[in-house]
Amino acid sequence: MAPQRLEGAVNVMLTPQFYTLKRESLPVKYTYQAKKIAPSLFDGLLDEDGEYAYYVQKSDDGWEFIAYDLDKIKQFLHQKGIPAEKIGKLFFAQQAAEQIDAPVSLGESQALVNLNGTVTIVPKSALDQTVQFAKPDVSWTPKRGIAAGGSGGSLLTARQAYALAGVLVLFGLMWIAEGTRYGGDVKREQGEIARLLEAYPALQSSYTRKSVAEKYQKLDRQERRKRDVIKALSKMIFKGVTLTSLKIDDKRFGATFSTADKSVAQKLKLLAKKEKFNTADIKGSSDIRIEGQL
Amino acid sequence: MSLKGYQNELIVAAALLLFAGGWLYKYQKQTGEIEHAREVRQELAEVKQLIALKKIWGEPKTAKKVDMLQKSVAPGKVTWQKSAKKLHAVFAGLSAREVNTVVTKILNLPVQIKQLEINKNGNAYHVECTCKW
Repeated sequence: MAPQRLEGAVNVMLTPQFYTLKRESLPVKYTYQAKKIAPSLFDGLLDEDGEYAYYVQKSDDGWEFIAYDLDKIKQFLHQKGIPAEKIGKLFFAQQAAEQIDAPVSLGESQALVNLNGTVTIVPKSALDQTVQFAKPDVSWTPKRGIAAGGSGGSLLTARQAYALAGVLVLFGLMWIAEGTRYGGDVKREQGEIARLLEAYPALQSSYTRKSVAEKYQKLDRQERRKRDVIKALSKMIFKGVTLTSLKIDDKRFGATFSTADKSVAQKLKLLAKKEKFNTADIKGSSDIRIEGQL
Repeated sequence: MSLKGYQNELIVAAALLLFAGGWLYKYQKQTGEIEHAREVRQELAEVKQLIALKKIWGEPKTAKKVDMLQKSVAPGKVTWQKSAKKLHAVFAGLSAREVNTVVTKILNLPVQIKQLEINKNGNAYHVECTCKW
């Protein structure tokens, strides 16, 4: 293979010298189950100094197991000008077995052929002289491939990345869903406002509401205050205390109480003080004057 | 340097973007909704309060209710001057119990007490009230 000069990332299809293929018919249903037993199938078949990973795919009559040494593959590709960060996906020629129905030329002396479903390399001299070499279809790639793990200084493995992304996406979607739920909480209140304003059309304008509110709130405050004062004064009538006069208008109030003796007068003053009313003794009598502003 | 080499990080970054976007969306909707809900609830409370105030102080049957005050004491003790929206009543020669009855009734009426005057002469009370509605 000639050294390459690449601008961008490329996918690489590995010829059989980079992997070891084994076919087995096993009573397993899923790829992950087959992958678990892959190492045991290659016992004694692989170089002991290599560090192998396994690719498994289903074939018509069982499973195809591929053992490969990723470090060696990357090392080779690096020597040929394809650094790990320029490798998109790695594929095995065996994955393209169905596409290789005619020999594919590999340089001057070798060709890639499909021998009974197994993709292998043969010398061109072993082929018929009249054979027509097929051009590899670069637009087609197998569905699955392997990532050149750790390429480009990646800190995460694909599994970690997908797991983390899955969790983040899940939370993101949950929050979006929660966010879309907001908005209906005050519909009941809005409906109630609409019903009330329909019943009281005069209040539909906010300006009218404001002026009406100002008028009635002031009135309510003043009248409640008057009533509270009268009630407070009425509570000051107890044994020994008699109301002799009371006058209340919009601005002030005043009441005069006659008391039986000084102790009663003192108690009355205390009650008035508690209500924050002003008190005054009336000269020449035990009467108390209580007054204040409204 | 190829971005493809950082494909895993890019996937996580995209997910993180969705995560942050989702949170921000929820947060904005939530805070906006809380503020909106607060405004709507405040408006509802204001409208309810206004209607309640209008019912109390703008009650059209107040004039009839005021008439009940006249009947609370013997007719000979009352001087009654009532116009469409105003009342001037003078109650004379009332006992303490009658004063209590009259004042309680005045306080319970939805009227503006413009002036209320009570004076004790001997054992009898003189009550004068001016109110409007």
